[in-house]
Amino acid sequence: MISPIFLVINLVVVALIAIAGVFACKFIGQRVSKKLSVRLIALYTLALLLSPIMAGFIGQDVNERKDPIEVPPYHFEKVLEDYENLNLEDLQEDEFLHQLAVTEISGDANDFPKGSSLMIRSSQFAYNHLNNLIIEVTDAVDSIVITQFNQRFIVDNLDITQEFNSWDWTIKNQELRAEIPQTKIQFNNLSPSSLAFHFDKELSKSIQDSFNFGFIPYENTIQWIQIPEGMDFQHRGNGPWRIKD
Amino acid sequence: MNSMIHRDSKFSIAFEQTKDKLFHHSNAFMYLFILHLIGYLFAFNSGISGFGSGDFLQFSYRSFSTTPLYVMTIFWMIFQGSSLAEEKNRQYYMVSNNFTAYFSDIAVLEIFALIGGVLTLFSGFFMQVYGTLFMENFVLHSVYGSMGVLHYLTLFITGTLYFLIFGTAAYFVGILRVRYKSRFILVAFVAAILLIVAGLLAVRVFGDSALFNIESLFRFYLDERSFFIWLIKVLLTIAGLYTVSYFGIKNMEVNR
Repeated sequence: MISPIFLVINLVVVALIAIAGVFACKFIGQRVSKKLSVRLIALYTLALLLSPIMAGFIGQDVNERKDPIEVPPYHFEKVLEDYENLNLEDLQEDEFLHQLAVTEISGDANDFPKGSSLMIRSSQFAYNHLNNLIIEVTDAVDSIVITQFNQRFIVDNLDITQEFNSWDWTIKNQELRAEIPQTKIQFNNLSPSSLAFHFDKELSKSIQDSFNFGFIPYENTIQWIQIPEGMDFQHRGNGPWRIKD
Repeated sequence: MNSMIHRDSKFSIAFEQTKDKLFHHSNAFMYLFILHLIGYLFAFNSGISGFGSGDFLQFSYRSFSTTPLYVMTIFWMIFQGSSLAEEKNRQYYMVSNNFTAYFSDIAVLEIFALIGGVLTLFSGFFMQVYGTLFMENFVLHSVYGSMGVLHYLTLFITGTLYFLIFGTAAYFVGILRVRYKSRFILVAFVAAILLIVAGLLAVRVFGDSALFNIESLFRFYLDERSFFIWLIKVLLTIAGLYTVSYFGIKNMEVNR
């Protein structure tokens, strides 16, 4: 529901710009000589006529996939809840998840002096982010490996999960830490005028539907932490610790 | 009076007048250019249809289309139609009768509509090039993948004919205004009041089913999915507007 005040303000802005346009036409248009205006429109027409060729050279490709993946909303939460029955391979094969990055903590950082152990503290993360961790103790790795998954985010047939920033994992003072960068994406989409589909019912429907891209996964990551067997680690703080042994 | 011109047929005089009017009205192209610039301003600054932010992701989605350019070109056609009709007040052609004046007017309007149609057709490509060069994450809608030559042809024909309808309608109203002067304003005022009263009464008597909105008028054309029926509708509309404006101009005194 649009509030009436918002509507009135919008209308006033549109009216002001329209009045400004009329005045610009009156003041600029009448002072300019006929020759100049003809030349100007010729240049403009030339630029417009050349632009299809330019567009061909630049090569903006269109994603033509006919049946896009319908990602169920909150899929990653179901995966997180079901962590005990799942392996890393299952997540890699999941078509709704995208493996964003694999971070391997290098050798030296894995060695701790005797009697001390790796610390994972919940105070590092906001509560929501602790939710996204799965800790697995395994002998498949020699050092700590963090694999990051994101739920696929598809807008108008385009998978933009690749553009997400991954978490930056380090060990400092025997503590496993993550820097969490925010991904800022502004998506600019050019759609053709609906007049082109005047006699084409199906396409004119599809152009109207595309604006409901539905679920936007703002907190959609799964961080799968593999810790080599035999390494001591402690976890402190409250929160759902998902630990696979 | 120059007798050489009198020997020419009506149509050749009208043709000469068309050329002359195109030259006389060439400032109209400047207006079109300015209006298109405003149209691009609207097209690139409107259409945020999704925005939100979380801890991981700040996402905004904007979709552009060439619709503002169409609106601006329609404004331009209305402007040109009424200014062509306005000129009937001060007829400056020495050798001219109402038929040639009328014929050259509609020829000029058709040429303007054609120019508007071509320019708006290509403005989509122009926006594409501009966006690709100067914008991050600029993508084309997936509908572009299934567009063929026929769709571009549709875009051109529908655009041109709709512009022509608006231009001729404005011309017709302008002719009435020029011809009947103060009586036109009076009649328009009375008609507006009658329409409002009739609308209020209709809603009072028949309820919501009698509501007439301006959208349903355009739906008559816009919802038509069969090309030939649409073409007949549009051409009949234009022909009707031409005819009534010819009858408006037919008995008018020129060179007053």
